[in-house]
Amino acid sequence: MNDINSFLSRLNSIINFSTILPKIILIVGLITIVITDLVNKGKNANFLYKIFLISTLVSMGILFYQLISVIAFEDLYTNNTFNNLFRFFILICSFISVLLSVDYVLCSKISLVEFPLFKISAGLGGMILSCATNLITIYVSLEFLALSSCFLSGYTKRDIRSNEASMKFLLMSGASSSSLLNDFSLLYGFSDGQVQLDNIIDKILFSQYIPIICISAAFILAGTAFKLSLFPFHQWTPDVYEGSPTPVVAFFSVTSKVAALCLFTRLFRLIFPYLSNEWHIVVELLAISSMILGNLIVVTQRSFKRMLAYSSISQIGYVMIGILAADLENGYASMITYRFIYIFMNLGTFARITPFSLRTGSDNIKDYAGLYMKDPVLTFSLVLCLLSLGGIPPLSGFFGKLYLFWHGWKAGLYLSVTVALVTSVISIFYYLKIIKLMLTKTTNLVDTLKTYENQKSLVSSIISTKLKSSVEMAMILCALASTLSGLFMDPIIKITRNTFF
Amino acid sequence: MINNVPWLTTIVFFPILAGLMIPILSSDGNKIIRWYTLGICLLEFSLITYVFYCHFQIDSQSLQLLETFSWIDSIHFRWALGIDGLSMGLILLTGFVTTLATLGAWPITPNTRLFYFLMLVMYSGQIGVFVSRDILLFFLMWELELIPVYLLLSLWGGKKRLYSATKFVLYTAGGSIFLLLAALTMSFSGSDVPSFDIQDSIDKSYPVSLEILIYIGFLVAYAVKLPIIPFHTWLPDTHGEAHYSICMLLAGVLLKMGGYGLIRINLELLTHAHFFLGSGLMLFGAIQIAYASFISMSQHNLKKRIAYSSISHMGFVTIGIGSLTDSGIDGAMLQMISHGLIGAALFFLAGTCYDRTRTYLLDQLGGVATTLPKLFTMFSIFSLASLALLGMSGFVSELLVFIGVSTTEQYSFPFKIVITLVGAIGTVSTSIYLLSMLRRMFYGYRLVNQSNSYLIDLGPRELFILICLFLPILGIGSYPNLILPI
Repeated sequence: MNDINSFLSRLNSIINFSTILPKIILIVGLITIVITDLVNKGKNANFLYKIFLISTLVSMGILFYQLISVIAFEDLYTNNTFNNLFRFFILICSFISVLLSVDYVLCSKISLVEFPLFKISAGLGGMILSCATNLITIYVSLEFLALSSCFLSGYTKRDIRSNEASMKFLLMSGASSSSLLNDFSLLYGFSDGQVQLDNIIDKILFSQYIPIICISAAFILAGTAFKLSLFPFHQWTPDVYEGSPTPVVAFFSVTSKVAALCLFTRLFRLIFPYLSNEWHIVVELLAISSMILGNLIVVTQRSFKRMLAYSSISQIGYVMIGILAADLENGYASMITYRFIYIFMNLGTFARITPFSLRTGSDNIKDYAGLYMKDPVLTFSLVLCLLSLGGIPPLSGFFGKLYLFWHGWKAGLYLSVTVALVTSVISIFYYLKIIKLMLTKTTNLVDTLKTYENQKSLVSSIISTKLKSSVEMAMILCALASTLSGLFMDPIIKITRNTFF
Repeated sequence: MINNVPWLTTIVFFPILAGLMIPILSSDGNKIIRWYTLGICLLEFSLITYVFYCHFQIDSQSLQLLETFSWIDSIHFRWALGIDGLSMGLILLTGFVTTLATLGAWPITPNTRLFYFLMLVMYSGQIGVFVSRDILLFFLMWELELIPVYLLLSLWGGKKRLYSATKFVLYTAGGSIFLLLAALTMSFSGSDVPSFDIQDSIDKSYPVSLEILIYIGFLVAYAVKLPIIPFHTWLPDTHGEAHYSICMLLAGVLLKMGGYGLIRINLELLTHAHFFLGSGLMLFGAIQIAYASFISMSQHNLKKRIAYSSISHMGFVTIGIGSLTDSGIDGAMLQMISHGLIGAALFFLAGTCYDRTRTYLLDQLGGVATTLPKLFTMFSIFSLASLALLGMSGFVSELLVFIGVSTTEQYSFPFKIVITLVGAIGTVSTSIYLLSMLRRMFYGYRLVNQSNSYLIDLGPRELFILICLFLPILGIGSYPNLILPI
């Protein structure tokens, strides 16, 4: 008894419980899912999903509470607003993407249990990555995230493309993690054996090994840029996106990018402040090329998922402007706000593609023609999300971009902002093409659409009524968020403001 | 203001909020939607006129009905609205033309819900442009037009509609980039606290070269919209392919947004640069008048002909703004309003003619005067108004512009003569092409294989629209003092 008491108090004093409480809840949820599945022997799918959703919701609630009230202390995990925000984002992403994936998993009759398992573990990895300030923690959580994502992308075992996607992902992520590890070992060596990031800065601040520090910066760039799919490390993105099952892609495209952004910002901001000029130039170059490349190639795509892959490449370019434009009073507000809005836009688009590909089995953009007649709700929410991605007022994408460009212009990044604006126009063109395709009535419908049935008739026999509309719920949520959050951007910005280190 | 009711915000928001209710309306029969939208438009227009009569003092010079709500504090983006004489005239024009365009869109059958919803969104956006006092808000409203026009064009247009819609979007969006960049530069330069308010920006002074840069930035955006040569190429395609009620909106109001922007921002805020570049504006305007009218003469497509005549008339606006005199600017404003009415009417007429004869090509439209007397009368009247016949508003505005050109002290005498000459050539050729258009359409022998039974004359609805458009033209022409003090 005494031992337990002293253990608990020590636990409390060493690690403040509430920091890792969200993660503990997720872990508990994970274990519960595994156990439940073992017990039920594969039946009763709804229950599993409900557990997952509940655990995500609870941890989101706790994080939200933490966000609002200021709790400050220091240990292995620093708990400032930056970390909290990112963890919150990752939880939102996980939540919504699981909502999406319910129908998909059930319909395609792939094994049920591992899916939320991997999702939770990937989410966990992302969360730990967001607040890691220790080199080892960073690496471990990065690998955690990467491996879970790998499994997720290869989930549909019988699909060749899915196997190919997971193979590519594994190889590329392995290569980038090894380059990161290489760099970490360099940093470790420089700082005389320090693993904590803050201490590393102190140690290498007055070091005279500047060229080698440049090399280590290059390694870090290579490692993290892969995850972010910045140019020229973006080659994996279209293939993996096209091959993996759609809800997995939805999850990927937001969660791993959010986590990688956090990592990128933290690493560069903390370690190389006196290399900032060179770093600025390099990142600016990468950002400009990502934007140009992503937006130009997107015009020629025929597959929806590939198109979204290229568009996410260009979106990362925009976000890089936000990172470059960070300053003392505003912190990374522009980047984080845009990220937040982007999550909803992107997930919203995927939320529409998933049921569409379920019902028609096709990913071709041409097959979306005339969707307005068959399913107006889907069409309109897709239109809203696509327009928001393009940056049309009064949707939230416009406001996010406005804020981003405002900051960028203020910080003097004239070239980047100009390129970003020009490429935005190009992307508007492409999104409009899709929208036009969907809204026009075609006299002879494509074959795929002829067999288009509404949700109720296809799925209701399989699962209960509550979960039937989960995708719809995700759709509506995302559509609302992408439309309205621009108008109410002010409180969001206020929260994201004090995120400078 | 005695009562603090936010009139302007109401005017801006009312159409779009009403438009959001359209999906709720039942869709059996398009009648309900049409009447509903028409009712909303009329209501809105009466609101505008009410505001105009009761709350607006014509004689005062300053801004009125100011409203400021702080919206997004961190980038100092405020919801600031305010109007003065220039805006008021254009807002009245918007309300008028949009209501009539809604009425004119009666025969549209496919997808009426979407159509009317988009019309209402356009209504809000157009009014929003004319009332905003904050440059970012101006930009937002400017961009707001893009998607509804694209959708309206591509869903209900002519044969080459996708091409022209895409061209429109790319051009306009490309031009608006410069608007944003210039706006950002303007707000950040010269002060620590960035401010987008137009009132504040007036008091700022900039180094001259920066001012010229900013001016050019804004100018590109307006040049695409106005349009100024050589950025005008989107207009014939767009106007040629759009359904005629949308053409009414486009020609009537959207082009004026460019002119409004020129006057409001470039003239009031960037005066030094305006001095430098004013002569360039005049030159381009004069060339535009002549050039566009020459092209118009060679067009076989009726709508494209009228589109080029629109371009040519907007050249007068450019000259007027560039002339740096009060009468020139008055003339420009008047020309904007009068062309809004005339252009809308002409497009509507062309559209109704198409509805009957199913062809836009002038070669096939021979000799329909005897079967369509009312159409012919109206067409002639409006063509005469377009070529600035005495007694119509076009005459007054063009006269004012020319007076402005001749009395300006800023430019050398030979320059003024050149401008006036080129403008005069343009005016003469305007009458040439308009009259030849009339001749080809109405006089002459009827083509043998025309089936007469389809040629029904103008119905009462269309007649109503045209008379509504005609009366202000006549009124302004006879008594310009109605509008000028504004």
